[in-house]
Amino acid sequence: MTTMRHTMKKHILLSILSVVLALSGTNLFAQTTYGSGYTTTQTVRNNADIQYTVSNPDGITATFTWTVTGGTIYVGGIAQVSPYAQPGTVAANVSIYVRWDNTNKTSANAGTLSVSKTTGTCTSNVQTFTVQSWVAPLARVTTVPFSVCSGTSSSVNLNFEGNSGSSGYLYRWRVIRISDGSVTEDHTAASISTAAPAAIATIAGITNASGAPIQYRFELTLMQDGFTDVAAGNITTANVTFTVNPASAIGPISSSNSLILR
Amino acid sequence: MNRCITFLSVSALVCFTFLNVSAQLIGSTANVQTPLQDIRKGSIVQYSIPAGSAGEQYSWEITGGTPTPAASSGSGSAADPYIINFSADLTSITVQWNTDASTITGITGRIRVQKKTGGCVSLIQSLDLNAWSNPTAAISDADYEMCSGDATPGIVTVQFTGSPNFDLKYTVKDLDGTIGAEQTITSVTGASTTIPLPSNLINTSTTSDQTYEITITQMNDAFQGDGLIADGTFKITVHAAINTGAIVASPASLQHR
Repeated sequence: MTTMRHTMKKHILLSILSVVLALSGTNLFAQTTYGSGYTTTQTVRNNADIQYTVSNPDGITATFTWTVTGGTIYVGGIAQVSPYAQPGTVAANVSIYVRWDNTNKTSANAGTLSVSKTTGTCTSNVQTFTVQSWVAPLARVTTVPFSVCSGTSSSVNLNFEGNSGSSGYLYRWRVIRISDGSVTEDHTAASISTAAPAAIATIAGITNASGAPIQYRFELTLMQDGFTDVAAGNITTANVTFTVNPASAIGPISSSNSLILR
Repeated sequence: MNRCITFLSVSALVCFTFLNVSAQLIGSTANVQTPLQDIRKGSIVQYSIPAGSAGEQYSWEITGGTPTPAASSGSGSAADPYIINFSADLTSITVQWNTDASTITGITGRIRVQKKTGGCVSLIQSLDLNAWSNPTAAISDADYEMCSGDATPGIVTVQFTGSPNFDLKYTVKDLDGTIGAEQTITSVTGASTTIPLPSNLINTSTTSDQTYEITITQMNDAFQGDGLIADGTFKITVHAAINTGAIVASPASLQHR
């Protein structure tokens, strides 16, 4: 009896130690294995359904008890109350989904996920790791259409609003002449970065010698926060048009009197 | 001002820019005309630009001279030029350029103008210039008196003002009254030149003084037009030789048989 209990406990521990959490959806990282001896902190996006799976390699029918704080457990698309007891069958993985919650836009919400395995009257150690949940960043161009004078100002300021996500914001943008689609300024390779939710892009002064106003479009092509998972999809207002007025000619200064060399 | 503050940053920048219109021309890019203009110190010169559309505003900046109409601000120095604020249809001004005590060196000046149309300003049109003293020539040596046969001073010095190089023409009236061919000295780079004199002068008359005269007939500096001959003559008066008479002995000298 003692030997049997010892063997069962060993199997339970092996099961838990081999916990494999296959992360999916908008997880900030590729599939990663968590558990005892592994990384114990995961960073995820708010409202993303993350699948967590536990293998059951010892083939013992057991009950897996999932406990989640800072998020909601979903099984079969139905929200479950934590702690959630899930039966495990022979040689089958069991899994749940967790939708992490975070109402703070610019700071992480701390959550926890723990699981234990119970067979008969025996319960394994509880495996726990923490989750940092971030709201996805949101960017929009807040500047309204405007006009600038040709060559008279070396820069034009544009404001962005990155009102969520992790600090270390990164924006990529370009300026296009609408009439022919030519790119007159391209910051898709070199980007501006800021630690604050608001950023300013400076457009170099554009000389317009055509004699007529020229329309340009500022395009915000990418906005990311401190993580790499989010691209242009989080830009709600990406463009603003602006007009560069033509340079006015003044002509030469003539004088009534000037000396002439002999 | 309140409107500027409430605008977005782009608008705010524009508003801020035009709040400074009265202080200086806007922007650092200028269309600099070449070549430089040369004028005389103290001269009054009218400057004009092609007239644009009615109501367009112009601002002028003047360094080294005093404008009319009067400047709104500034002292006329390079660090603090005169500024005429943006004024409608101000396409012409006059400037009286400064003078100084220098003789053959120019002083720099500059005139710049900018146009504002529909809230946008043009490139700055800029004209740099040098102001030169009026061209003059003057003999600096005083007239001279000497006894017949004495040594002369050797040279006569002529002082210039204006823009080098200088050319000089002069004539010489000899003691006997004849006036020689006009002489020319050219390409003088400094502020003075010299005219040579004979080493000595002998009055051939025994009864009256004779004069040796140098007269400057024309001078020019580097620019077209004859300069002013401020003191153009130099005269040496050579007094008549004094005849002391023969020596008479008494009794007279012995005579040979």
